[in-house]
Parts: sequence; structure tokens; C-alpha cells
Amino acid sequence: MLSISGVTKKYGKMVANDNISFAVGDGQIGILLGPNGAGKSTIIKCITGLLRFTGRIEVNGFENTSQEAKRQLGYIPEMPAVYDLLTVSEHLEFIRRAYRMEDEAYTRELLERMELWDKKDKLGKELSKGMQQKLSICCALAHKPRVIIFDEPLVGLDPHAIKELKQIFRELKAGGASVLISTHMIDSVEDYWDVANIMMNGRFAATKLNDGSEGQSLEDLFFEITEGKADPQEGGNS
Amino acid sequence: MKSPLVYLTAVKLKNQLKGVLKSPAKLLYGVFLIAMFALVAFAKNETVGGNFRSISELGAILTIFYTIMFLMVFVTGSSSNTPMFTLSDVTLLFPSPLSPNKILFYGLFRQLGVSLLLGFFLLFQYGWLNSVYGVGYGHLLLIVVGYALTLFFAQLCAMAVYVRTSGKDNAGRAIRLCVYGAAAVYIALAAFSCRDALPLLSQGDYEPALTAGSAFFSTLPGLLFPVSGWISGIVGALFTGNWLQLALCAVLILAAFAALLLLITKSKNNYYEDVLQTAELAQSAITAKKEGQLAEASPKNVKVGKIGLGKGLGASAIYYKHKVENRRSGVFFISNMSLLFAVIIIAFSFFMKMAEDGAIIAVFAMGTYMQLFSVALGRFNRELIKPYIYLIPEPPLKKLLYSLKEGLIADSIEAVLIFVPVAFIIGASPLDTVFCILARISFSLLFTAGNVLVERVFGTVSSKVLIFFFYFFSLLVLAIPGVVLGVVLMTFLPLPGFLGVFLGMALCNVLLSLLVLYLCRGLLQYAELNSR
Repeated sequence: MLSISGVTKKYGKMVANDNISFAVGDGQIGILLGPNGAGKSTIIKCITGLLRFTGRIEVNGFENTSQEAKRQLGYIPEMPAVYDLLTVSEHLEFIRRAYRMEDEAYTRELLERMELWDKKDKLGKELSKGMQQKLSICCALAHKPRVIIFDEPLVGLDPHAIKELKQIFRELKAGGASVLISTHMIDSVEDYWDVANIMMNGRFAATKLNDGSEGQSLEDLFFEITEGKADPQEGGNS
Repeated sequence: MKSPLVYLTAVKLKNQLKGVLKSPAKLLYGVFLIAMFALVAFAKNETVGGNFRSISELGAILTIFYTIMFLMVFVTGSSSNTPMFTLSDVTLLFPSPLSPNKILFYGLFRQLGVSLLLGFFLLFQYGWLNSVYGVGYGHLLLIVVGYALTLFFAQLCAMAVYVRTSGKDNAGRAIRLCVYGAAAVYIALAAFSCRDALPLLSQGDYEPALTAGSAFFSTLPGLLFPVSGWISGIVGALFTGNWLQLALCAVLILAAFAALLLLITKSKNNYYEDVLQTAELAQSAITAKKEGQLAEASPKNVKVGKIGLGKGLGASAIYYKHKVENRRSGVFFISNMSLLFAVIIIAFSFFMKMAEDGAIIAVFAMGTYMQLFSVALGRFNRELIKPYIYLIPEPPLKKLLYSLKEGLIADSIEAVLIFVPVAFIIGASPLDTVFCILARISFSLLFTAGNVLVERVFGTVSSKVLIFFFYFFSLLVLAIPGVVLGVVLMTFLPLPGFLGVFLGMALCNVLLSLLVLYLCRGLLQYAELNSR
């Protein structure tokens, strides 16, 4: 369970996140949508403890900067986080050791699913950007987190990796994990989201629950809000 | 209608100037640099009676300096950090119907400007150049222009070689071998010209070798080393009014310019491929800088060797990861940058040997100044740009100490590697040497703690220029108490040699560092890292 209550983040006078509250429950996939500069990456960095903020963020009941919370949190940044001088397999070994995890078979399975096993002895700097992104995903999932934050995870991935990652989203959901995905590719998340939050100017313009009923699509709602055709306050809250 | 290239150059220049005026941080930085230059210029030591050292010595220094810079830029070639074209030039100009030669001239013009800017740091050498060699402002400007021309020609040569050898591995290798060969012959010739003076070095008599070396590097045939020697010849000739040398070197440089242009423009391969690679590299460096990341600066060819961290659990995994990374980056305990600094400091101690008492203090002060830069390039700072160190579920202080461990061990080894030879050269006492090494290690700890402090206190500042500013300011402030205590101990305690100074600095620095690290222990729990 990921819970965000009244989070505000300011850079000087500029308010990047203005009193944001939302939650992603166990076994749920939450989506963050919004135009560039809406504040999506900022709230994600607040959740992962990379930025200070006012308000409260909890990961399975623990404050987000506590060790208990960090143990249960996985984060895939927008820019692949890869060490130039470590091999692919060493990245996973590092994470296993740092998180005190012994399950080598699981990390091997992740590499195989992301088609990185045959490149396990390649250095981080020798990988293409797409492969670095795949490795970054493997690193974030290696310690079997219960709350996983993806910031634009599909950018740069090949069709096979996109298919595999979507499958991983479904498996994480089925396994009871809380998943938060920030993305611009609305159609890529249409078929598995549970709660979608549309951000504008650092605030939530609309929150929509996926109750399985036919109605306005996420894409239509997004353009209504962001192109100013709907009142953000009413913005399709359901 | 104005040529699009003239328009582009003018608009870029105008917008850059506007950018400086509109950004308080850049303006502040500019004012600071000018103030520093003014300080250096006015704080010069007047040499009574104009008793300067021979100007040929300066000519020799310029030849060596220009040649090292020329070879470094030429050999690294396309991996240079200051490419002739940016990625926007590549994507907008190259596919356009403009003549490739006109585009090349646009790039050359821009490059000359960038090279001049790179020479700006030379202006800060005014103080000692003036007091030792009687160098005036005009002379200094000539030295800067010479430096800019050297960088400019080195890149032009690298481009010409690339264009002519593209796709021919053997040809490229042969040219590199020729360059190394020419450099080796040049060094051998220099050594040969000093052959009578070299044996005297072992007796501690440096003056004859200095005179013979200066004579070789500041006159013909020592000035005939391609490009850098000729440029130094021009600058030296303008200093001394040797018009024959000026004419000869100017003709050689103009001929080289024409030949290089011909090689580039008349080649079947155009220069676009080389430029594209360089521009892409530079663009990724710019993007990394915008995101507040340090360039990784990992070597091109890495020997992977043994795979696996092997040890470490929890926070200690960070230390073992650093060990693997250091092995791969070809660093045997200390980095290439530190090694270069060590060589410079040891070389400096040769000059200090001629000085009277306090040589070890002078060498130590210079080494500490260089340490400001080398500590900032350590692996700890690179670790901060990746999210893992914040996400690892371990106590923040433990993570902090393990991420500093490798750097501190390397700094300790570096201190021994530098100050044992220095002590031999300047004849320092064993006690002074040991405490000098301890003081050096304490400064490593202090500067590392300063790094942590800057990240902790100024992490929210979005201007990288201001952060750089705060970094140096904070480190200078942190260093003051140790220096003061050192002077106090030296003055009031009857300790032998410079023991008091080193002891005071070491004690104060260690205590201050531990305090700072303790106060900033939360850094790795709750970072404030914008755009990272």
C-alpha cells in the first residue's frame, strides 16, 4: 500500500507539487498522467526519498525514508541508472548484497525475461539505452519490492521488452504489490490500470477509478482536462 | 539577406551575453572571476631592480606546455570535450543545402572562440609570471592566444587525420605511432642537448640543466616540433623581437593551416562522421551536466577481468563495488588525475629545493590546493548521482562511511606516494614527513566531509555554478581552523621542525570532519537531489 497525504514540494517560490494526496492499494496499479512539467516526476522523487517535501508518504505503513520502507520499495527512474564499470550480472549481485537477498535464481529469471542473460558479462557502458533501461528495471525488481514506482518505464524499450514488462505489471498486481506508473503513453496502460490520476500544474486535475464500466476513455478524459475543455475541479472524478 | 551562418554566429553570441546578464549566478561568477584576476594582477610581487629570470626559460615552458596540450588533444582527437560542432549544428546544418566548406569555416570560427575562452585560466598566472619573468599584460595575452591556437590546431589536425584515415585502421595506427615516435625523438633530442648538465643533477646542481633545457626548448631546432613548437616560436619571438624566428614560424603555421584545410576539404570522405560522434558525446555530457550529474569519465577500453563483487553485505557492498569499479578504470589505488597531480607536486618540489627553509610547507600548500579538485572527482561524488545509495535499506551513517572508505584509503596511499619522494628531494626530516602525510590525509577527510556538507546544505540550489562556488567557499572556510591551530602550536610549543603546524592541522581537520560527517549523517537517507 502506497499512501501520499498532503504532499507539497516547492523549489524556491515555484510550487512543483501542491498538497497532493492519493493512494495505491495492495494489488492495484495506479497511473500518473499529465503534460510535461505537471509535477509527475517530482512526486515520484518525493515518494522514493530523493526530494524533501512537506506532508506524509507511507510505504506499507512505514514512513518512506525509513529502512523498513526502503526495503519494500522499488524505483525505476526515467533515465536508466546503470554503473558504467559494472557488468550486467554484477549490478544484480550488488543489489542482492546491498538488500541482503540470496535469491540468485530470481535475478537470473529477470535477466532472461528481459533478454539480458546472454549479455550478463557486458559492462553497463557497453549497453544501448534500451538495454540499460531493461537492466534498470531488473535492478529495481531484484529485491522483490512490494511497492514499485515506474517513471516512464516504456521509453526506449523494444516491443518484446514492452510486452514482457506489461506482463510483469500484471504479475506484480496479481501478487498483491502496489504499482505506480508515470507515463505519457496512455494507450499502453489502458488495459490494466486501476486508478488514474491526471496532473496539471502540480495538482491533481482528475482522479478516475477503473470500475470496468464502459464510459469515457482515459485518453478522452486526459485531452479534455489538459486542453481545457473540462473544469479540472469537476474533471471526471469517479 | 544575411548568410544563415553569420546570423547564427551573431545570434548565439548575443544570446550568450544576454544569458550572462540575466542569470545572477553567471553574473556573480563572472564578477568573481574578474575580481580574482584583478586581485592577482594587483597583488603581484614587485621584483626590485627588474632582476628577472631569463625570458628564454619562459619560452621553454611555453613550448613544453603547448606541446603537451597539443599532443593530448590531438591523440584523444574526437573524444575531445569541446567539439567544433554541437549536436544542433549537426542536425540542422549538415543536412541543409549549405556548402560543407562554409559550414567548416563556421565551425572553425566558433572553435577558435571556445579555445580562447579555455585559455582564460592562464590569466590567473599573471602574478608569478610578472614577478619571475617580468611578463606584462600584452605578453600574457599573447600566451593565451598561443594556447588557444594550439588547441585549435590540435583539433584541426585530429579532424584531418580522421577524415583521411576513416575506415583504414592501419593508417590510423601508423599515424599515431608516428606522433608518438616524433614525441620520443623530440624528448631524446632534448635530453641529448642537456647531456653535459644531467650528471650534475645527482649532485643537486639544477641550474646547468635548467639553462641547457631552456636553450633547447626556446630556440631552433627545439622550436621545430610541429605546430606547438611553431606557435611557441611565434610567441617567444614577439617577446624577444626575434623577427627571423617570427617569420619562419609564421610561415610554417600558415602552411600547416592551408595543408590541413586542403586535407579536409579535398577528401572523398567528408568530416561529418567524425563530427557526429564527437557532437553526440558532447551532447550527452551537456545533458548529464544539466541534470547535475558528473561525467563518469570511464576509460574507453576496459579490461573486465574477474567478474563479481565477491564480498559485502548491506552497506559494505558499496565499498566492494567501488573496488571493482576502480580495478576496471585502470586505477591502481589512485586515479590517473591524482597520479598527474602527484607528478606535478613532486616536480614542484625540485624547484622548492632551491628555496630556503619551509620548502615542505610550500609543497604541502600546493598539494592541498590540488587536493581540492582531486577529492571532488572521487568515487563518492559519482555515487551520489545514482539513486541506489539512497534506496538501499541500511543506516545512513553506515552507508556514508562505506561509500567514503575506498576514497580515503586511496587518499592515504596517495599521500605516502607523494610525500616520501618529496621528503627525499627537499631533505625533510622523517618526523616532519610522517606528520605531513598525516596532515594530508586529514585534509582528504576534511574535503570529503566538505563535499557531504555542500550536498546536504546546498543540494536544493539549482544553479550548478553556485554549487561550485559554495563548494570552494565551504572548503576554504573548513580549512581555516586547522591552519590557525597549526600556526598557534608552531608559535607556542617547542616542537621540532614543522611538527606543530602539521599536528595542529591534522587534529583540527579530523575533529571537524567527524563532526560534519555526524551532523550530515542523514544525507543518504533523505536526499535533496533535484533533477537527479
